[in-house]
Formats: sequence, C-alpha cells, structure tokens
Amino acid sequence: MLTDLSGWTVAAVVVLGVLSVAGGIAVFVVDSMARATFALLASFLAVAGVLLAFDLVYLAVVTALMMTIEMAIMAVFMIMFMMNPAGLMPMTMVHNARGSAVTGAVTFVVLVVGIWTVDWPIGRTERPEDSTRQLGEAIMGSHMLVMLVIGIGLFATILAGTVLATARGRYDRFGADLAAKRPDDPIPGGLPR
Amino acid sequence: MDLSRRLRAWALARPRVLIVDAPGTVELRRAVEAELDRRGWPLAMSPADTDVLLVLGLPGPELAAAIDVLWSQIAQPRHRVDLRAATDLHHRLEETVRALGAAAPEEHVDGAVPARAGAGHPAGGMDHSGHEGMDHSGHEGMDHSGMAGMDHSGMAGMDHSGMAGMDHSGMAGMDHAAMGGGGHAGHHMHHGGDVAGLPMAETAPDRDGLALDVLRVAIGPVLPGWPTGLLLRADLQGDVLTSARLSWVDATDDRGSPPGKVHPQRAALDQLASLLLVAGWPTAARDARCARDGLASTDRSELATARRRAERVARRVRRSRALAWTVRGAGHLHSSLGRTAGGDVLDRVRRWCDVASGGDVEAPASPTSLDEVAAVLEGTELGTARLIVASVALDRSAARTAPEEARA
Amino acid sequence: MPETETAAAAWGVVPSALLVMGAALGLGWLVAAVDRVVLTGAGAPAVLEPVRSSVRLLTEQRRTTLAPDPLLWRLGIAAVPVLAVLSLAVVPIGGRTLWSTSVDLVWFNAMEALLWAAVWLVGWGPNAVHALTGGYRFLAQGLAYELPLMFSLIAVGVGAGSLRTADILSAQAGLWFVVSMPVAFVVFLASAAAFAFWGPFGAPTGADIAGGVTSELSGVDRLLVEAGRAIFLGATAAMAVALFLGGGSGPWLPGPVWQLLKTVAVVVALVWAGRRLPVLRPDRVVEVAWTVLVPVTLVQALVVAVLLLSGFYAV
Repeated sequence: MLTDLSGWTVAAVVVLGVLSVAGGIAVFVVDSMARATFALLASFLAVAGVLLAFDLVYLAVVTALMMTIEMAIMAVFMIMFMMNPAGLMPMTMVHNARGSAVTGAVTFVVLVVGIWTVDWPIGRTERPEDSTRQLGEAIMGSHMLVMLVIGIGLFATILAGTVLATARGRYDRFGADLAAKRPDDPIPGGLPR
Repeated sequence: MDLSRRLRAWALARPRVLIVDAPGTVELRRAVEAELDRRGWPLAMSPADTDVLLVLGLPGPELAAAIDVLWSQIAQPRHRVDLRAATDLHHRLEETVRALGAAAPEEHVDGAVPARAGAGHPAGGMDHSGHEGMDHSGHEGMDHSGMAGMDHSGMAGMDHSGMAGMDHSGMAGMDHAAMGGGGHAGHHMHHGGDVAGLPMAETAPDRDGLALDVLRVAIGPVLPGWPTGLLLRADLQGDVLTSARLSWVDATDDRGSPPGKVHPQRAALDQLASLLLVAGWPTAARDARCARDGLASTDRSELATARRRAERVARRVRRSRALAWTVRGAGHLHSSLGRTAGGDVLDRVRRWCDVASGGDVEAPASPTSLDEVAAVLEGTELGTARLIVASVALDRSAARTAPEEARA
Repeated sequence: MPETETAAAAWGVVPSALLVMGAALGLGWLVAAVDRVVLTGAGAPAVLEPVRSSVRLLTEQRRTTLAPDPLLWRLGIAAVPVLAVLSLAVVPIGGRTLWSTSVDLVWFNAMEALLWAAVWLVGWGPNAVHALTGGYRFLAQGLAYELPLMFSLIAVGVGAGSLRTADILSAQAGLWFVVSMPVAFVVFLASAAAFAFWGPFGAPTGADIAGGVTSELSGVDRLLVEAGRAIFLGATAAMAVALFLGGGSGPWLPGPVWQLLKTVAVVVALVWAGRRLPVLRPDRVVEVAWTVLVPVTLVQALVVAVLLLSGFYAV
C-alpha cells in the first residue's frame, strides 16, 4: 500500500476530496451569487476536512477560519455592488467562464498526473509529536524571511488597493488645506473627532 | 393526549402580542400595554414572532387591509382579538389564552384568514401583485391557505417589488459606471421577466455615486415603536434610504387624540417608551411605560411612586452616555417652529426627558408636516431613520402638505 | 507538555458528547433565564420562561416567505446551534474538553468565523429587507470584532505557551490570567456578545429593523437560532472562565463547582451589564473596534510577550 494511513482516513480523504471538487464545480454551475459563494466555502471546508484527516489540525482549522472570513468579506462586497436577496434570476458568478474552466481543468490534470507519476521520496523521519509546534518553528525560524516578505507584501497590497479604490481622500474630508478640525463624512463614526 | 394538550396550554400561557392601534385609541393602548407588562407577555417584533394580534379600536379600510396581510403572515397557533374598550381587558386576555391553548391546530385553520386573493391592497398601493401565484407545497408546515399570502408589506413593511429579481445590470452597471462612463448603459443584460411575480431591481447612483441596486420599499404601517398608520415609502440602497416620503394610511380619517386633555408628562413618557424600544433599550422602555401607567392613577401614594419612577427613568436616559454616543448627530431638524422642535435626535430625547420628569418645560413641538421629517430621512440608514421618526411627536393632523402625487 | 486526557478518551465518546450537549443546553437555558429575569424584572419565576418559549416554538408552525432561498436559509438556521455546540467542544467541563487538539483556541475562533456565514445566510435566505439588513449588520460587526478577539486569544496563548485549553488552565495555577490581561478579558467578553449579537451589540436583531435576521423566523427555525445565540454566549462565558479566571481553581470547593459558580457569575455580570445599555449602533461601534480596540489588544499582547520573556509566567 502507498500509505500507512488507516482505512477510515483514506475513505475520509477520498470522500472529502470528491466533495471539494464537487463544490468547486458547483461554483460554475449554480446561478446565484450567494450559492456560488457558499459552494466555494463548502469546497474549502472539505479541503480543511482533508487536512484534519491527515492530523494537520492547525492547518485545517486555519483554512476553515480564513476561508470563512474571506467568503464573508465577499458577501460584504456583494452588497456594495448589488443587493439582491435570494438571487433567483440566473446569473453566472464568473467572467470568462470558459477560460477559467479550461485553466482549472488543465491545472487539475497536471497536478494529478504529477502526483501519480513523480517518484516521491519516502520520508524517513519520524512524524513529529506536535505538527503545530513544528509548523510554528519553521515559520518563525528557517522560513521567517519568506513569511515576513509575503506578509508585508500582502498587507501593502491591501492598503494600496483600498487607497486606490477610495474615491474620497483626505482633501475631501479635511478640506484643501487639511485645516478642518472634524472630517466631513457622510456618516460620522463613533470617535469624537 | 391530555398531557400534550396541557403542555400546549402551558406553553401558550404567555403569548407574544402584536398591538395594532387604530387612530384615537391612545388611552386604550396604554391600558393594554400596562396589562401586558403586568402579565409579562412580551411584545412581538414582527408577525413571525406573534401569537396574538390585538387590534385596538376601529381601523380604517387601508389599515384593516394591512392587518389582514399581517394576520396572514402569523404562524399557527394564533389568535386575533379586537378590542374596543379597556373595560373587560382582563377577561378578554384570559379568554385569549384559553382560545390559544385549547384549540387543536386544525381548529385554528378554519376561522383563519379572510381570503385575500386579489383583495384590495392596504396602504396606498403597496404591491401585492404576484403573491397569489406562490407554490407552498414544498414547505412543511405551510398546510393551509391562510399562509399563502406570505408577503411582507403589512408589518415589516416590505414591498418586494424591487427586490427578488436577480438583476444583472447591477454587476454590469458597476463595471461601467465606476469608470465614469454612462454610455455603456446599453450593455446591461436585462433578463426580462420576474421572480414569483416580483419585478427585478433597478440600478441607480447611490450616495457615493456608484451604481447600486435600488429597492422600492414601504415601511410601516405597523412596526414596533412606530406610529401605527404611518407609511414610509423610499428607495433603499443597501440600508440607505433615498427619496423618502411619509404619509398616513386612511389619511382622511382624522380621529387623532382629542386635543385639550393630553397629560404632557404621560405623553412624554409614552414617546420615550417607543423611542427606547427602537433604540434597543427594552429595560428603560419598560420603566418608562411603568411610570406612564402609574401617573394615570388616582391613588395618592401610587401617584407619588410613579412621579419618582418617572424622574428616575428620565434621569437615567438623560445621563446615559451610551445612548448619547449612539444617537448623537442624527436627524437635524431645522424647524420653523424654533428651538423646541429643532436639534438632533439626542436634543429631542433630552427634551422629552425634561418633560417626562415633570419639569415645567415645553414639550418638543410636533413638526408641521410629514415632508419636513421626510426631508431629514434622506440619505440616512434604516435604523437612523427609525430613531428620527421615533424622536418626533407625529400626530395625524401633521399630514403631507404637498399633494399626494405618488398615491396609486 | 503535560498531556491531559480528553473527555472522549476518559469517559467514552458518546457519554462525553452527551455531556457537552447537556452543558450546552444548560448554558443556553442559564443565559436565557438570566436575560429574561433582567428584562422583565419578574424575579425568580421567570427562570421557567425559556422552557416555556421553547415548547411554544416547537409547536408553532414554520413559515416561509415569498421567493426565498430555502436551501441556504435552512442551512444557516441549522448551522447556528451546531456551531455553538462545536465551540463548546474545546471548553473544559470538569477539567476535560470533549476533544483536544494542539489548537483549541483557533478552533474556538474558527467556529465564531463560521457563525458569520451562518448568520448572514439566515438574513439572506428569506428574501426580505429587514432580515438582510440584519445579516449585513452582523457581518460588519463581526469583521470589526474578529481582530480584537483574535489578539486577545493570542495574548492568552502567548501567556500559556500553548493553544490547548488544558495547558492554559494549568498555566494559571499560580495567577489567573485576568490579572495580567484585563484588556484581553474585557475585549473577549465584548466581542463574544458581539458575535452572539446580543445586548448592546444586538443591532443585527434590533427592534429598529423588526427583529433583523430573526424577523422572518417562526417555530423550530426561531428556536434553533435563539438557542444557538444563547448557547454561544454561555459557551463564551465558560471559555472566559477557563481562559482568564483559572477555570476550576479555588479553595475548599471541588473544581467543577468552582467552574460552575464562576460561569454563572460571568453570565449574570454579562447579562446585567449588557441590559443596562441601549443597542450601540454598528456605524459607531465599528469605528471604535477598528481604531481603538485593535491597537489596544495589540499592546496587550505585547505586554504579555514582554512579561513572558521576563519570566513572569511559569511556563
């Protein structure tokens, strides 16, 4: 046998893997934005389940956490541009559906072929006691530079994207000479300023 | 079977009540609220959590039609009570509990709802078109025709006409309009048709100039902490209201509270009670109602207790930093009536508190017209709009001054 | 690292799962009963009211709306109580958690994040303005409170040197974490109330939008959502006891009794304080969460980290 995992684990991985692929396909099939969003979330949660079956608890839980937040933010953006409860009229979630479907299928095939044909090295090391600790030590140790660069890069991208997307800048809020004491906002926030 | 019957009776012994007060029933409503508070019967927020529909007085034709819609949205088991006077209130409520608890579910279904297929619609052209075509067969529990008209316009005030259709132009319009080009309008993919009889949403520029879906909503005429019979029609983008208009249902019905015999302190406490309910402060609202009811007493010691209670609740609300923080700055009315009607919601809350604590101050004047209030609602968020409406004393004499061009 | 046996390993999976379910129902009832007592001012008899309401909702008809999205709606409704109970799986009951991973705190947090999705679905499903408005209010609130909550959990994890609840309990043998992390404690409770959309953070179910996400629910649907909220708030109170108040530690009395007493005290304090305030409007709250609470909880985490390096915590 290829693996030392138990039969239950293999079965769980297979079922969850099929579920995640099915969820991914559903994104292209369903005709409502909400359903597409949550089909994607279901797919991610199935992946988290696969990780859990491999006993990679931290990665599993973090996947579920991050992907849920991501989908929730997607829902926020949905309201920013359209408000359409239940969304029963047919519509597609994707632009360039054919292109993305082809890309997805090709990637899937390449990865699957690679997985099954590459002669993977067999791990000789013992499985660590605590994979979370091992992961933490890797991130905060040998891979720290990479993680820092990626983290700061992502953060800078988020900030830059927000700044570029915001129509109102500080000159709109505080006046041309930035002299206004209180910002001129359509809806004031909770801070006394 | 006896056990389950008794269990049902026990479970329904404290039903949730939705009060609909027809014009001219102020004292009756206060008496009913006092009795409900005494019994610990909660007030319902929407038809969905209603067991008993209490109709006070004689509703006019439009309000009656809205009540029928409400009734059709209330889940079984349910009971409707029409009260004309407070005289046998205790007895009527006892009877209500018995009727609710004793009846088997099937018995409810018979006298349930006046058939309202194609019925005349309440409240000035709220859109019910298409509600008849619903297929409820797939829903368990939807076992009787009374529920079929599950539209929202009565209570939660939802006009679905602008809402259910998936509008592709929302997306397309976003792409194009955000780039500042109006000329792409022709590219919008309009999939004609509708969903369940509801037309699709349209797109319009929102407060920030982006194209956003617009829902046409009608809020009212029956909501918690809302002047019954008031109808707010507006365009809703996200939760921001635009082109708001206010009107009364049964506008010709001018049975307001009779002038001259208004107890200013009780009126102020009443106003505070509904405002605090809207502001999500149910304990303070309960105290305000309690003080208000005590002030009607003729007993000297009870009256003294009620006065103290009124002062206490007024002081608590006035001094609440949390309330001040959360409502400050909303709803600036620039009234022609001068200082007592102007200011923001917080100013008005504090003035109501002054009157409620028995101080010798002038009550905030009613706005002269609904248009004046509607103008302040422009561009506010739904919750803010509710607070603004709850902070002004609207009576039915303050009608729209402009001609009702929008009435269908 | 001392390995504490999980409840599932010690007592069997089924009994301990039943125990957690029982604890969930008990906590939900506790929260609802205390809330009712405070709300109606009716005193002791009101403690039966949650049971009464539950029976009534069980016999009530379910309703639907015009053109809903039934699949997602019902999914969201069912998910709310399920997630609340799942979050309780890593809360120690009698010193043991139902199951334990090396990342209990992250698990707890993930259940809260999934709750966003569930509540949003409950608001989206019925195709109604008020419900949807409530759903979006909840999202805005949840987004704003997620980071402060995460940072306060991180402070706890740093202090204990572990993300496992059992280790966090044993790390507080000397000194309760609430002493060195008061800010994290308060933020944890506040964001828990925000995630259970309860009390001053109840805007998603506010009276100003006719009950918001719950405005179209009746019968068993409403029961599930309301019970899920109450269980979630109760679970968070129990978690706060484990994370900040030393769990079952205390003199004279046995550990479980102390834990129960502390949990009841936290629930009562939370409900009593929460009901003294009006609903705080989301547009105000959210700004404070982003611009005040995030930096404050970051500083709290920094303080804990410095204390850890200086040998303050016996790890």
